[in-house]
Amino acid sequence: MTAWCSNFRITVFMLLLAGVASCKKDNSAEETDLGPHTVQLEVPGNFPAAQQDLDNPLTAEGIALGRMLFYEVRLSGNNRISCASCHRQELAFTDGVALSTLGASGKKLERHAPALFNLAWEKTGLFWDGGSKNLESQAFGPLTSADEMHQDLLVMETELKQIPMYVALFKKAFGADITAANVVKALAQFQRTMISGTSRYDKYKRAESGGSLNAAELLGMELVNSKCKSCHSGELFTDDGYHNNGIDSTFSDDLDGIFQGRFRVSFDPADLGKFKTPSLRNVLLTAPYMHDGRFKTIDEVLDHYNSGIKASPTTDRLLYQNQGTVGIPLSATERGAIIAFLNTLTDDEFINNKKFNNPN
Amino acid sequence: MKIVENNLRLTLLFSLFMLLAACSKTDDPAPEFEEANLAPLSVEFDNIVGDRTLTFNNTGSPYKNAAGEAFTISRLQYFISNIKVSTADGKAYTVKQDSSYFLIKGDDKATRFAKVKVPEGDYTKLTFTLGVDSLRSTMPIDKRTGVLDPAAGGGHDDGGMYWGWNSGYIFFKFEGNSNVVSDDANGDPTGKKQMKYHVGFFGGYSAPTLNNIKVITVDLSAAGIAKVRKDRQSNIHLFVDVMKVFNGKNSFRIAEHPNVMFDDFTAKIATNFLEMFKHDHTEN
Repeated sequence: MTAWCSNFRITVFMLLLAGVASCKKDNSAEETDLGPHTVQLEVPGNFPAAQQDLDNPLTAEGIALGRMLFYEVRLSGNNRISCASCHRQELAFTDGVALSTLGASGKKLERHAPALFNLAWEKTGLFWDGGSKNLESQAFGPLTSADEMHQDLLVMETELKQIPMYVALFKKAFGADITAANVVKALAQFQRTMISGTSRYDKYKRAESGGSLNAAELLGMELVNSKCKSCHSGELFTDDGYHNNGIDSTFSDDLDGIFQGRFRVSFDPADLGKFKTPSLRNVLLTAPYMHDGRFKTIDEVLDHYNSGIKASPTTDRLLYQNQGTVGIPLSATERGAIIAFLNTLTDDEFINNKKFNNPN
Repeated sequence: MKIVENNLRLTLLFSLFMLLAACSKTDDPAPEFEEANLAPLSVEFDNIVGDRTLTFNNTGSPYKNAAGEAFTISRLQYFISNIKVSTADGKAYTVKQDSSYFLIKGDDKATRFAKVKVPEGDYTKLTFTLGVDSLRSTMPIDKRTGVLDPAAGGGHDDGGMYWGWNSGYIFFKFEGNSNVVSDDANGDPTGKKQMKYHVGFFGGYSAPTLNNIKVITVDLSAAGIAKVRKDRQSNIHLFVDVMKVFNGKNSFRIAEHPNVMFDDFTAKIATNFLEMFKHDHTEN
């Protein structure tokens, strides 16, 4: 397979050379013939169907370029920070700290870096408050924020244009010059291919080899189904929605409303303190937890749901599981079983998948 | 150089007089309204501050709002879009949307004209949007080029007009300085006494939310209708009085609201935009 692949690559390369050599005056036709090649997402059998994004269809060339850009420090103003600085594959593309200080200003951010996977199914906005419509517009946030990558997008275009390899790769992927718009499109394409669906749980669901769950894990699965799945729903283990899970009861309007969650975007009082439901997949890799990383361990998270929920007008009614008051009572055995099950959602193949690592 | 310039100005002024004189003499019936018969029209956004011209960082002679607060202006930029003209007998033409987005920058005189093409005709009414309509705001990134390219103008701390944290455009960006701005977190903690008014929000890409898009209608019949013909350049000259930001219907004090960007007070300011545009005259 590999041998065939490289033979194929060499052949393509030869053809390209021949094309360039033989008709220097008119090689545009050749270039269009070579790409870009449409790609369909490989959706795990137990997942819902994924829609191809019509505005930015996946192509092999776009995905490959996006992967390079994801690891490219030139995307930042000081040429030292890439997307991967805060989204590390071994941690399911999160960063392991509550609030990062790796940004250009060195200032502590106000929100925790979210994990990145199964983004092709996120349809209700990105960021903890859903402020961005899609992955394409989302990228402009961290790229330009003074406390993150602090990039002037025109400078970014100029810098990338100085690298002939990128000029060629953008041409192949988009048939166009390097623009900020095509940078975010390539990043979005790559990110949509980052699918995590090969955990032990997935193999169990698909009755594949290596997919056995023990008694405690099965008990944990039932407990998660009955107590957590209203929000962490379906095979994606998120409802892609916004909830106030009772970690606070007041929501200051300081810092331009950053603590007000979804309200900051919708201005609907019913959205005060609501944040996007993160997936439970890979959850044991993505500590610390919550939009501000306040809980260091999964035990602290379960403590919160057991006895720490604060009631406020927008605290989700789904959390009133303790005879009409807030809380999801859990025995020691139940907690153990839940953690055992969550462990089966860790996807080692995903965090070791060479399609997503640094190609540079 | 100065003399040459002055001479040039005089010549231009003289030519203009000649042109006006010539025009007024001609019998000039309105041509048949035909959508395909396009001719040039420009709308000039002439920024003023109350009864004074717009000058940046004029610390020697600051402006003063109705509340008596002195201030200077360091930046003024806004989007004008979706230009439409109407005749007295109710015929209307909306400029092709792809050619109907303009970023007016106070510090760049070249940007003060929104140049469009409309059918030949006599127009008594001008309509445009202050801001970027929701349809365009939510279009794929490929459809948002030119002044709408999120890369244009740098980051939002500079001349940029795109918000990364909440996908959408800043419609109106107005910054300056005033000694009434406090040095605490509500004002300007850097001590530079800066005031910032960034008004955006197109109504939300999913659930409806704050919508600060303002449609402005200007009646041209009193100060001069636009006679659009192929052989000339009709120019609708508007005064844009940014003092109305403070002194409009929802008047407010800089000291109380020195920074308005992300909150619903932007809606109050956006209402004041409706009073900002006055038709001064039309050059035909």
